[in-house]
Amino acid sequence: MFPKTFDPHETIRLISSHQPALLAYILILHPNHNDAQDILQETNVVLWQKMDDFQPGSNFKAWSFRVAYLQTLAFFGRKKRGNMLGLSPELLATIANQTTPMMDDFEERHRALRKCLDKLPEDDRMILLSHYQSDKPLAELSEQVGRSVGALKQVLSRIRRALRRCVELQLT
Amino acid sequence: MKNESESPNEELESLLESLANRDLTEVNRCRLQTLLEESDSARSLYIRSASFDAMLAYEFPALLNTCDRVPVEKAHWSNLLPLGSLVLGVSIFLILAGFGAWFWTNYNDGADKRNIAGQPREASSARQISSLDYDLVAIPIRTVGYTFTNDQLKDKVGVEAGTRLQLAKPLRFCTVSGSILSPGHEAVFATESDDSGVLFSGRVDVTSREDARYSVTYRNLRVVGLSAQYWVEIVTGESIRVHVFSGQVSIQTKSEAPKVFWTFDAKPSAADLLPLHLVGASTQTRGILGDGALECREELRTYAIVEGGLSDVVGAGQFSFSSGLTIEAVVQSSWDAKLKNQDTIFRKEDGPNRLLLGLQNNKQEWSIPRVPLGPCLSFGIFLDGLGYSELDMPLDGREGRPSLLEFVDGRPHHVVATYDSFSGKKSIAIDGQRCFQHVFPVGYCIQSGGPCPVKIGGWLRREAFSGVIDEVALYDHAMSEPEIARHFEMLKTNRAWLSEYKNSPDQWVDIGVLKSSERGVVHVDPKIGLRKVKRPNTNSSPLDNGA
Repeated sequence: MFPKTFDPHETIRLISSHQPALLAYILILHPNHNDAQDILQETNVVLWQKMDDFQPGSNFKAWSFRVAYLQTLAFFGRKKRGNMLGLSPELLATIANQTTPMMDDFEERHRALRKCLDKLPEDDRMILLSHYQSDKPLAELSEQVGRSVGALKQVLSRIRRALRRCVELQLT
Repeated sequence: MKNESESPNEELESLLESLANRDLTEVNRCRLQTLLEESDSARSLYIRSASFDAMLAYEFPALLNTCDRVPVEKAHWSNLLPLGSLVLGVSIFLILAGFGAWFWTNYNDGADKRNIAGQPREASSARQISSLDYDLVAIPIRTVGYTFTNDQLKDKVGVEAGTRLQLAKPLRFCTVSGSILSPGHEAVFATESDDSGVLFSGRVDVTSREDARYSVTYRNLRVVGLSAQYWVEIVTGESIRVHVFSGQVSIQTKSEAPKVFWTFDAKPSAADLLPLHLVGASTQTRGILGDGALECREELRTYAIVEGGLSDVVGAGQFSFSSGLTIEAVVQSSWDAKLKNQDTIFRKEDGPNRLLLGLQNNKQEWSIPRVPLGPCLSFGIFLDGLGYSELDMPLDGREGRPSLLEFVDGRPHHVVATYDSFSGKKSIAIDGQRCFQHVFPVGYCIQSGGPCPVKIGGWLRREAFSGVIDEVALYDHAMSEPEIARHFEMLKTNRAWLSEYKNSPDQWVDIGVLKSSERGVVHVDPKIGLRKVKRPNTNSSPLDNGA
């Protein structure tokens, strides 16, 4: 089913270029990576189906976030569970509203982060890779890399701080 | 649990770190919930932190969950015949019918009288394939892993053995055995099997799951990791740098041993790795080297068929080659060079994925490079991305090449056909001298193997070899020029080189181990290429401590 008023190629371009921001938005609402991937896929389907409702020239990101928010709630309803942090629906709505304007510079920050990752020392990059690729609890990962949990926490914390500083520097 | 000495911001930051580390306890979760309910600034900090974590997660997706092991495709070659296509089906039927009638009238006469005894099982399937048309047969290629069409890692695309991967941006590749590979920017990398790959330039990151093995080959070096996370980078044309992040890897060097060979000696030695079945009357004769050779008589269509080493798919089995290949033989030919008469020395006929070495009159059909019409020695292989082609060396006596009369002079000649994907060189050497070659782009691997048996000598009358074939060997690398010259020198003094190798020659020899957080630079010998990497003594590592 193709939207009537939208060029399908333009629709695909719009949806795919917003994937990182959409994933981030969903993870803010529900910081569970496996669930977030499922919610993102469902959001993509709905965005495609509802493209007719989108007003060309208006803010696609804000509109897609609204769809993602509703899909997150629908996911909670289907799975009969709530937000991973136990946030009330009211607080979740507050966070959702607060998030949208804060994501205006997301793409810029993301580009800056990529540049910073390129500059990251090799060992630090490998630790990040292990942490995010395996998605394992720290205790399990610490055995794999031969460091204590405490040491691994410190290293991850240091890397994130360094990356945040680097991103801020890139943006100034 | 709140630490009394922490300021609210420090406490929140600590909780957010725990959340990003997937390490948030139930108590801390409740505390984070409270802080988020209480303050607008806490929520802002949470949103910034969570979106930053999401960006990192986006850059390093959770591949280990995505790369579940998947079964290797069990397709059979016969499934790949395009039965769904009515037009092609009719064409095949017509070809079959026509060929069958032609075959019956031309070749089948007297076959029974010649008492061709006990053809092995593979022969029947080979006959079905060959009786169609060599190039109509399509055999599936083994799927060794998959890549993803989008960053969300949802849509998998199967990748075949021998596929060259070169992309402008980093690519993620999961093997069916459960390893994850990330060739870097502008790396050239080729899949070999589900547990091995070949690096041509740049760098590749490897994460092999628990109990999964993955090896990366560069020229004569191989890095083998079991349950390890490591990367391999080509530093210069002669060195690789290896960094082990977790687990440990072995560094290996290639030996010069053949992968498989046949000496045709009257009493087969343990060195002949795969048994031969001789077809077409008494065939063993006094050896050119050793005490036996295959005497092929064209009128009897004598040939040897190799039993075993086959697989359902291309990219598997004993005859699956990828980054390099050498076909070596000693031949004493009495080819008449008539227009339609070919003399096959070696053929494994798996459709376009065939391996071929033989004498034929060049028709320019498959020639790369293009050469004049006329008698030639042909070496055919299939390269992924480039297709099947033959190096047709004219037997014209020019530029160091032998003339037809020189080649069929009744004396034994040493023939070596090689392909090396690291240099792109495909070449033929006669009597110790490389005398014809073509250079392909670097990084294109051979796709071979499959269900059709190897034949030494030709089984069709038009392909039957006339003369003597001895000391046939296949190597999974391009034999070096000094080694080719050494073998020819041994031939001149009637010394057999294949007897140097044991029953199960090791293709790879361990030269060192790198453990977690170690790194090293390993050098390739630029002249010889093989076996010349300095072995470690007991007190020192073969690996220079790299930067």
